[in-house]
Amino acid sequence: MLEGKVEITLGKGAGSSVRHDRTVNISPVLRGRMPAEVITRISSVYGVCANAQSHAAVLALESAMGTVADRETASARALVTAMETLRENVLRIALAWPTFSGNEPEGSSVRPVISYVSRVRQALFAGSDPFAIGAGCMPDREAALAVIDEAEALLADRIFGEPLEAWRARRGLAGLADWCALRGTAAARMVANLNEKNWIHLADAGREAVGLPEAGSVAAWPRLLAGNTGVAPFASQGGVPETTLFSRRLAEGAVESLNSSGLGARFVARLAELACLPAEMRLLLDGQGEPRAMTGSDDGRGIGMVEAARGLLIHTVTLLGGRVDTYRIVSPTDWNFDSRGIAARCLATLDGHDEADRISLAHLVVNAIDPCVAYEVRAA
Amino acid sequence: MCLAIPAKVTALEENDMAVVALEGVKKRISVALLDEVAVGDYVLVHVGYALHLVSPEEAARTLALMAEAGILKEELDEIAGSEA
Repeated sequence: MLEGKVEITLGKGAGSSVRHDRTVNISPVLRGRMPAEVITRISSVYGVCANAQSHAAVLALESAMGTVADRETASARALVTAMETLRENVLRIALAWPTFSGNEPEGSSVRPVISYVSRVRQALFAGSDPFAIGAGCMPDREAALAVIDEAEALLADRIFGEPLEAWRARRGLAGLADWCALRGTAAARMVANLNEKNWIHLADAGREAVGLPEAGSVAAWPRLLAGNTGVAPFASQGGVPETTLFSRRLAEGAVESLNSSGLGARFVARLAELACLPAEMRLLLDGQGEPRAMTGSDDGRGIGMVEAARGLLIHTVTLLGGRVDTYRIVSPTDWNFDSRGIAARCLATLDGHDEADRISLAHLVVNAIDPCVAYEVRAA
Repeated sequence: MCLAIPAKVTALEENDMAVVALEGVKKRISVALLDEVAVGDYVLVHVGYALHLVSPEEAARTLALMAEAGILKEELDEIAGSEA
């Protein structure tokens, strides 16, 4: 895998360990290439989240080249990436969550979500590549709004079983238990299942190291991330910060009111992400939203940062004679599955459980943090 | 953000299932997320699901890039490990 594989070992007494094998360096595939070629290559290799990857790439490249997109284009690009985030999280819920309670995946029930990204790209960029260097949007507002409306209707029907605003108004475990009792969606069954097993508050690693450093220091990030030091320069006594849907949405009412950083809050944060996205996409379309993306440059390095489906995605690049000299991608996996990252901290709280439960809980921890990562769980 | 690999559909089965082939490796996958698919189409496969159709040219370009990045063999090994 381009992002390497995660090996989780559940030890007895000695605790658990998380090993993230970063097997592939993308830089050689991109070195010497022109910026436009880099976008195409990244889009082809990263087929699942091609939009978020291309978005981070174009921000990094444009900043290294000293150019910046106009605000309308920046918002339109962010809207495309947000729709991809919506699609990915719908798919991960429909395909994985039913299996945790012994049921079949429900992929066909959310099939329309597959078309949303290409339709919103067409509506905003009229068939041209949103992430081409120097791209400019040509928005068809009504067409884009129609896709967002359709996405919200699908979420309400297939994921929440009720209007998104009604779900967002729910508070605490009682509010969620009421939702589970009333709605029969796979998402409601997942939360109900956790609650029945008293697993809602398990794997709670606290919030000491939850957030990434302030974005105000973003210009210094490329140097901190350079070389083989990974994300270690950002570690504190609490460990390596996390970048997940939980850290992104912990202030959202349904998440915050659980007063927990346990499994339940993490799965609910994925739902909160989906519940918030349609309204945020409408704001972007109206020019009032803040793109969840940042860019900057420092000492010839360009950096592009995008809030993607699983967390913060970072690309850094240096150019030499207009071609790529160095290129680095820092994915959410690098933070979250670091040996001192959030996955390790969550797993360390499970020592008191019997082996069968620990293995089941370890799978849930991984899925709650990152439903896409390739991983193995072994009992020592 | 994970990797997805292009593969050619060689057979369609009941219950939205299909068999895809790549470099002699065959795998049974779900096509439940696709509106339409036919034998001979190329699809992008991720964790046992076809995500969308890709053109033969795009499939060839992606496979060449994966080979250049040194990840194609590993992906094929992984597919072979979960052989249908």
